[in-house]
Amino acid sequence: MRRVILAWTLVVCGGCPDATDGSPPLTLVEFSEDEMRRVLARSPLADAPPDETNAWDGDDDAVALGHALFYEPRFSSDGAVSCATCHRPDHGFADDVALSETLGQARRHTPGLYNAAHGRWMFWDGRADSLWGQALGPWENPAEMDGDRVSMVRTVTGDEELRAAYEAAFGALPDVSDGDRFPAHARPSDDEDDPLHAAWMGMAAPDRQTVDAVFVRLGKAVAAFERQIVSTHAPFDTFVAGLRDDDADKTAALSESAQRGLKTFVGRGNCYFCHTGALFSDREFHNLGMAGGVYDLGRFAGVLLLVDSPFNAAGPHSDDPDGPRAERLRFVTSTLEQEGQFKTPSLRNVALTPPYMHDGRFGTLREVVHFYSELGETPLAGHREDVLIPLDLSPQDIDDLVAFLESLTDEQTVDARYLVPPAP
Amino acid sequence: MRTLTVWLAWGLVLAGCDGTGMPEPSPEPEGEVLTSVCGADAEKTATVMSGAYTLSWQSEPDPIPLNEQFDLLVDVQGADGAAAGTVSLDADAAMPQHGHGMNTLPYVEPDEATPGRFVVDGMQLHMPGDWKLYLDLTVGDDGPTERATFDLTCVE
Ligand code: HEC
Ligand code: HEC
Ligand SMILES: [Cu+2]
Repeated sequence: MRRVILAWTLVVCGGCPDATDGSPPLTLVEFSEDEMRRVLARSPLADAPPDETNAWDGDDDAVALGHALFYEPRFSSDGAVSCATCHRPDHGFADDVALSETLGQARRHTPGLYNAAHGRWMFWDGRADSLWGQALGPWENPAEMDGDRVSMVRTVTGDEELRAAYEAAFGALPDVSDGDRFPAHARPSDDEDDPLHAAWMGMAAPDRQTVDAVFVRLGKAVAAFERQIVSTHAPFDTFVAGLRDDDADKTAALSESAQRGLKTFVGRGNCYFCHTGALFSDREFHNLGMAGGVYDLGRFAGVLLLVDSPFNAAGPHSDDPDGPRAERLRFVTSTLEQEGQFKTPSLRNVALTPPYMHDGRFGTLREVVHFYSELGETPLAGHREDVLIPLDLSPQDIDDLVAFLESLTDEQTVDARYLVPPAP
Repeated sequence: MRTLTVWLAWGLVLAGCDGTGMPEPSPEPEGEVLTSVCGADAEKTATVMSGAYTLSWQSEPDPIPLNEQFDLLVDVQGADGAAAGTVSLDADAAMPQHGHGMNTLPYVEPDEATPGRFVVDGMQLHMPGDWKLYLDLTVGDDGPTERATFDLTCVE
């Protein structure tokens, strides 16, 4: 804090006769004191906070297993869908269609996964509160991979490489070969008519626990892998480093247009209220008041699902059920205010991941910015936050904001090995 | 557009402006993460019910971190520092200009060890800007209730 406040003495004497000293100017756009403080708050991005609910977070063997599992299609009911089918590594780990079509149609848009480990809540509605709790959803979701935990455990047990990778991280696998105790396919489901649900309920409780223990560890391995999907060195970060180092070569990483867009972002555009900090997300939920589309209660329903989930941070599978993540759960609330709220997405690598928003309604960044400029009709669910006011941006303003958003792209920091399945 | 040179080195700034040799500050660590706080210079005491009760609060941690959970310790005192008697407390916060409140639902518990003290657990001010902290004091079982309002500005 101190450095910034002191530095702003400069603004006061911004007219110092030889302030530039003949050296090239650091910025091509003038930032106010408040704007500059917000710029500096947006870089660098620190490491994601550790997830104490996952004892294997940061474990190399778990990362290696998770890497394989992320690209593993055999967990899906048709043997063809993996996490990477929807979370495409060549598309910022998002999907390039509004709603992914695999074994069914996904209800919401598939978001990118760069820096996902920074998230406090997972999914657009925050119905999971850890990466591992999140991962268990798509494996069994009938509209996504449509798999089931019993056959997943069998697949791992029966595959030499997966088995070795699992046992390196977690120790011996249980014996699930007895077909009377462990049916070929079984999973719990909200859909009582799902035959896999009946099969699951027919299993003895200790056998279900045996399967759940492995299932959860597979999720924890994927979570350890996902922490490696990072993006921290965008041109914007070079620009901010240049501000700190007084290095005009570095601040030149942002074009004048992108600098103007940045100024709008941290200034009159009000973007900074929600896209906070170096993640460009407050990791919380807001209602932007988008009209039309499918009626979706968003966070309102997400809170109820989260609190009920056996895989939340306070549940029996958490490695830190009394820790800070679990503590958050005590205070979540589901009131009218949560209706139609969705999680603020990080904007790092946003240019890689069209289309945008929870339903993928906007095909380009230009359309997103245009939305913020106009806002338009009455929202379908809940009410729009009053911090959003029509910005009446000129076409040039819109170009500038888009140029700035594009300056948040970095695909070099992530280890390139993780963009493809592990070598056999 | 006027071009402004942004110098973040304190020594340079001063030297550039008046040439006096001010002491140079120690350099900040590289990649320092700026901490964002709320209510750094907020009023923390108010009286309600024509001065019959004084409410004062402190946060844990102090100062209040932006967009992180924190607790409040609220002390209620009767006139002349007397114990407060049978009172209860409610706590809430909102950004009236934005038309929204907190994303959390805090709990208020009396602190058994300290008469007149309440612990508010699970507050979170998720957005930079101007917040109001509301402490509602109720006397006896069914009122009256009066609200003390405090301004808290969150700076990112
Ligand atoms: C059929 C497409 C599909 C598959 C397969 C899929 N996902 Fe997703 N993923 C989605 C969609 C859609 C969402 C958003 C759903 C929502 O918010 O309701 C999502 C959300 C997520 C999120 C939350 C990101 C955030 O910031 O909130 C993570 C993490 C994630 N998926 C990881 C995975 C992993 C790991 C796998 C494999 C185990 C996987 N996904 C498989 C479509 C898919
Ligand atoms: C009130 C909080 C808030 C403000 C202010 C705000 N955003 Fe957002 N932003 C969000 C939320 C929440 C979403 C996701 C909404 C949804 O999907 O329904 C979002 C989505 C986006 C997306 C799409 C990202 C993706 O991956 O789909 C972009 C780009 C974006 N915002 C940029 C901006 C810009 C530029 C501004 C300023 C003009 C801005 N935002 C102002 C909260 C906000
Ligand atoms: Cu607000």
